[in-house]
Amino acid sequence: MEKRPKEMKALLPKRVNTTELESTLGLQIGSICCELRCNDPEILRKLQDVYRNYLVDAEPDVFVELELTSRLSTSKISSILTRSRYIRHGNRFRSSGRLLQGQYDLDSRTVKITGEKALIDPDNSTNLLNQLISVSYYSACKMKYGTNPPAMLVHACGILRNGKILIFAGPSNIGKTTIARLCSDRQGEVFNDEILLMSRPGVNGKGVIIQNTPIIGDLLPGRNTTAPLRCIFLLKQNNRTAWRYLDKAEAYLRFMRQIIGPSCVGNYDKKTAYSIMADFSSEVVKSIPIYELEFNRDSDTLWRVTDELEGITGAEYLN
Amino acid sequence: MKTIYPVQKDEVIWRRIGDAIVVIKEDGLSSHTLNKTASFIWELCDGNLEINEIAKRLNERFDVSLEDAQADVHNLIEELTTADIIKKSKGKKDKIRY
Repeated sequence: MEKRPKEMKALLPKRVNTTELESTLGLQIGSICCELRCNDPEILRKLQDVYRNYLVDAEPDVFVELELTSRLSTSKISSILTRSRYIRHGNRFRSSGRLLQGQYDLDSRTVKITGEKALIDPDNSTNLLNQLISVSYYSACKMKYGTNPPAMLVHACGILRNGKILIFAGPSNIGKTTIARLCSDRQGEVFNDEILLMSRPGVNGKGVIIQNTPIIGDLLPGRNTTAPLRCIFLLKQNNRTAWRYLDKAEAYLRFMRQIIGPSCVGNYDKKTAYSIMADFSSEVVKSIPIYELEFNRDSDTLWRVTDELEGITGAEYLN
Repeated sequence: MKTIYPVQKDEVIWRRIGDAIVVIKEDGLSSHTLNKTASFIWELCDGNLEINEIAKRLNERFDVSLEDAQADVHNLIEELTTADIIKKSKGKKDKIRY
């Protein structure tokens, strides 16, 4: 098991009582409730623990049935995963190497997956839980809202600071977790260091709302809560810390690349998937200031620079 | 000289962002950002206007001579064709022949 950092403890809420184990769990992902069923009590117990902030008792939008097997060693699975790809045929899908296979039924909103236990085990560093969450979310959105999800998953670290969320977006290894670790309790509250849900601007007459997700990054996800978005920083590592406005076209393109593609059961064709992402990015760019943030991993400078922006409304940029 | 009706390829996704148009190819990786003039031309590439007609409209809309407009349109269409986001059709879109 990959050792989790000490800072993680600061993100964890109180433990819930998991002694009364049920065979299913309801998982909240934004406006979606995903019911997970699993034939393995040990795994279900671990999932209940990892997702304890996101367990809900609500009418499920999608049912995911997991039938887990233990045919292969963890190292063998990791080896296969690196070159694995997914094959779809009608309402069935499987990974090459036969690590998992499954089928879905849109009428009953059910996805059945048979796969190796290690792929779902939170203790295994190469598990596919985050992909499962993402696909479950977008699948349920497609069933519930069609091609217009009310919120999209974005590759970003979120920091709640002065009542609003600062988003630090960027690809893997750009420094999202570093920023989360540079955030002490005095400086703000870390929502998530990997992926957040961002609402479309103006949904319910509000601005952009950020909702935390049960996505596991290097840190475990924090509270299951929402907050209004202040601004978006697109990260760039450098030997100094500084920000600049991005022109809208550049912001649109770069932000779009941080949106998690809407992969789902009954997958969209490529053009539809990119169109959904393009629409979302263009809506966000018109509503929210987007800056490029170079940073050199120095905490004091990072928060001083972000504080500079507190006095800037972004109105000039948005006009 | 052949009559050419440039038409945006079906596979591309484009959005107007401020004054610019950003075109993304189907692979989601390659993109082209068009400035104000190029965006004007792009929007006219619907497969129903011939290149000289597009140049004429450019000449009417912007402060540019007809000769310069023709050269600009020709060059841009060549560039966008090479970028694989425009097709050159020999007929109008409603009776298209590639």
